[in-house]
Amino acid sequence: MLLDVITYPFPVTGSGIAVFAVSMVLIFFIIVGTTLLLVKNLQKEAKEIEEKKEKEKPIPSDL
Amino acid sequence: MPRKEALITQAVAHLGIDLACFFLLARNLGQTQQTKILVGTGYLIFLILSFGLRPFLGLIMDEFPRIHAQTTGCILAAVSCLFPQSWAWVSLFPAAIGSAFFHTGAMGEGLAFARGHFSRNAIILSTGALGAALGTILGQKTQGTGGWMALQLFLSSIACFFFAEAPKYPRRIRSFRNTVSRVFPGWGGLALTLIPAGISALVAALLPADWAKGWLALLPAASCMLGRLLGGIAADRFGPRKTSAVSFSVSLLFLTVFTHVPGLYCLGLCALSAPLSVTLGTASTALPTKPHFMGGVCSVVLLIGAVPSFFRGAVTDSVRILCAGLLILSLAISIILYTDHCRTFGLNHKNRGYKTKGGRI
Repeated sequence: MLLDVITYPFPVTGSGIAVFAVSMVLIFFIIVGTTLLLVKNLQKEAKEIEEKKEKEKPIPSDL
Repeated sequence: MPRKEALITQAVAHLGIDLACFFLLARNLGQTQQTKILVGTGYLIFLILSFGLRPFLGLIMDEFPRIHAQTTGCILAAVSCLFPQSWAWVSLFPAAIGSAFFHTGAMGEGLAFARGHFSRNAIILSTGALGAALGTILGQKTQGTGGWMALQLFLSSIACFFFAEAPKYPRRIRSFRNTVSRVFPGWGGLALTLIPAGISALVAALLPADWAKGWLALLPAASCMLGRLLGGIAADRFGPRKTSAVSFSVSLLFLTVFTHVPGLYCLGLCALSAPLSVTLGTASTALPTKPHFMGGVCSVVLLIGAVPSFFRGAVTDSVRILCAGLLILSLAISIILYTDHCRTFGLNHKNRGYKTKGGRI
């Protein structure tokens, strides 16, 4: 059975499937949470660098 | 900060905390639970909590650098050792959270003070594998309390408090000497950096050493420790591209073909463990102000790779072919991603203005 293969070594019983399902859900939330935090922080970092570059630009002499 | 003392303290404390946590798991779960499913569940919960909490704790530590993460981790793990053996499931949680605290703090501090060298983190990371194997063996053979484990952890926590804590770590990590090719800027480069680490963990999980029973289990653990250590030193000496490429080539040959030959398997495992410090160092430069968080991100990648070990079946030829394919992919990524020339890490690291020596960042 496919379910046997997927959930191995947890048996295809109530408790076995529950353990498998809960662990997969936990890992899913960890991955999603980490990815969201990573994307947010990378965007923030890129924005800071852009702002720093803007500040470092030389002011034109005719102004 | 006394850097050498901090390094030694954290390496020893890493050995101690992994020893204690796996001792607890093996003794409390292995001896009290009747079914393999419950034991497997306990290990899985520990792994998910210990690895999965690290990015979230890392972000908090980066925001509040005065948190004494390593000390907190050691104390939590020491407290879990004081629970009676029958409280297996209760003791699991402080041990896992303590492990998460310690590893996040140690990895973050290792990156923050690395000053462009991979070997610093490699030294801190290397001792964990040996601690985990030794703890598992001792836990299977020991009856009685874990008082001496708690004692060594309390001593470690005191040592970490005085030597390993770094409340004033640099605001930005100095860029690692290795760099990623300009062909893969920003997020693409970061994603490609992390993939080989996940593959390494997955291959190690799919191709276990079935011959390593009892004290023989120390052999793969010692190989892993040696690999991580040598990998960091080699990356500093020869560059990340050569180190990763040679490592994945050697592991491709010895892990997939000679799985049943202990000596060659250990050599393959040693090579497979080598690029971890390169991955950690390179990935951390994507967010130079958040070393703890980036350490946590690498841990989540390792978790994703390690989880299939709980659901794997027997090692068949198809598994070996799959692992060979994954290692070839890692090898290809390492060759095209890393460069030993002076380049910058994509969009985020342009014009950082780091001082360079001899044309290398």
